[in-house]
Amino acid sequence: MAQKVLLVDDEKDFVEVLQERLENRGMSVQTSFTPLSVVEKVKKENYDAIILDLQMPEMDGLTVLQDILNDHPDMQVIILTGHATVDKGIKAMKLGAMDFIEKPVDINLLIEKIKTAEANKLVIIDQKMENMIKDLMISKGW
Amino acid sequence: MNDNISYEFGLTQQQSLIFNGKVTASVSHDIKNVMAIINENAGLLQDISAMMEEGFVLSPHRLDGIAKKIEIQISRANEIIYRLNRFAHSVDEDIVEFDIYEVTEYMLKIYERIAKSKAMKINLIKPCKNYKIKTNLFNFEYLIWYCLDLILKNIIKETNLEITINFENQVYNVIFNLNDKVLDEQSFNLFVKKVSRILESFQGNLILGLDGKNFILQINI
Repeated sequence: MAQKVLLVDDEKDFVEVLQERLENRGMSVQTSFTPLSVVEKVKKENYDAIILDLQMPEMDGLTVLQDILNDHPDMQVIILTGHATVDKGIKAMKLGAMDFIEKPVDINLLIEKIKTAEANKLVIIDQKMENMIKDLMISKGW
Repeated sequence: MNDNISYEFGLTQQQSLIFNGKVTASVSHDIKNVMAIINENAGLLQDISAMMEEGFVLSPHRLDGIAKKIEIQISRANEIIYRLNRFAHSVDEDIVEFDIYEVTEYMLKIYERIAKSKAMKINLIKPCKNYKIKTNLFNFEYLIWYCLDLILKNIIKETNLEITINFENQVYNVIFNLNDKVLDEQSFNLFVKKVSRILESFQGNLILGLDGKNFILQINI
C-alpha cells in the first residue's frame, strides 16, 4: 500500500516538486504551506509520515511539532533542517520527532526515512493491538 | 574598519561582528531555500529522464516549465546575493552618500524572512523625493535592522508595520508606524541606551510616540 505523507513547508515551489517526485515513486502526498493548517489536517487524515520544515512563517516548527504530538503522540514526524538548524533538528528529536533531514534533500534518503516511519507506525499499531488483546483476555479471567 | 574607527562611529567591534553574523545567517538561509528548489527540479529532470527510458513521453512544454522554474530561482538567488554584496561593501568607506529609502529597502528584504516567522508584515512607503545623506552606512544599516528587531521582540505577533521617510525641519525622519500595536516604553528606552553612541554619530534621536504606536528615527546631518 502507498505510504501516505504530509509535506509541510512554506516554499511552494519546493513542496510542489518534491510532492511530484514522491508521487512518481508511488507515494500518496498531501501538502500544507502554513503551519496553522497542519494540526487540522492531521486530525482528519491518517499519515504514515509528516515532513515538517522548521523555519516557517507564523509559527516555529518546534511548536508545530509539539502541537501535533500532543494530539497524536505516535505520529512519525521527519524534520527538514538547514545547516544552521541541525541543532534544532536534534532538539526536535528530543521532543519526539522521528528523525531529521537536511535541505537540499537527498530524495533516496528521504524515502528510506518515510519507509522507516511507516514501519514504526505498524509496530506501534501491532503493539497496541497486542495490549488490547491482553487486556481483553485479563478481563475475561484468562 | 578597525577597532578605533568603529568605536569612533559608535559601534564596538563586537556589535559589528554580531550584526554581520545575523545578516549573513539570514541571507545564507534564503540561499539554501533557493538551492533546495533548484535541487528538486534537477532531481525531477533526472526522474523524467529515467521514466523516458521506460517509454514516458516528455512534452517540450513540460521541459520548458521546469527550466523556467530553475531560471526564476537563479534570478531570486541573484537578488539575494546582490543585497548581501551591497551590505558587505557598506564598510568600504567610513562616510558615503546614500539614499535612505534604498538602504532601508534592501535591509528590509534581508530581514523579511525573520519578520515572517512572527507574522510581521512590513510596508515601506516610497517617498516622492530622494533623500540622500552622507554618513556611516554600516551604522545606518545597523539601526534599521535593530529597530525592526526591537519591534519583533517586543510586540505580539501579526504586526502590520508601515515605514515612511520624510524630511522636516532640517531633519530626516524614518517613521515606524505599528498601527494598532503598542511598544512599551521600558523596552524602547533600553534600546535607545544601547544605540546611543550611534545616534550621536548621526546627531540623531529615537523618539517614541505618545501612545507607543509609532517611533521615529531622526537623522540630523
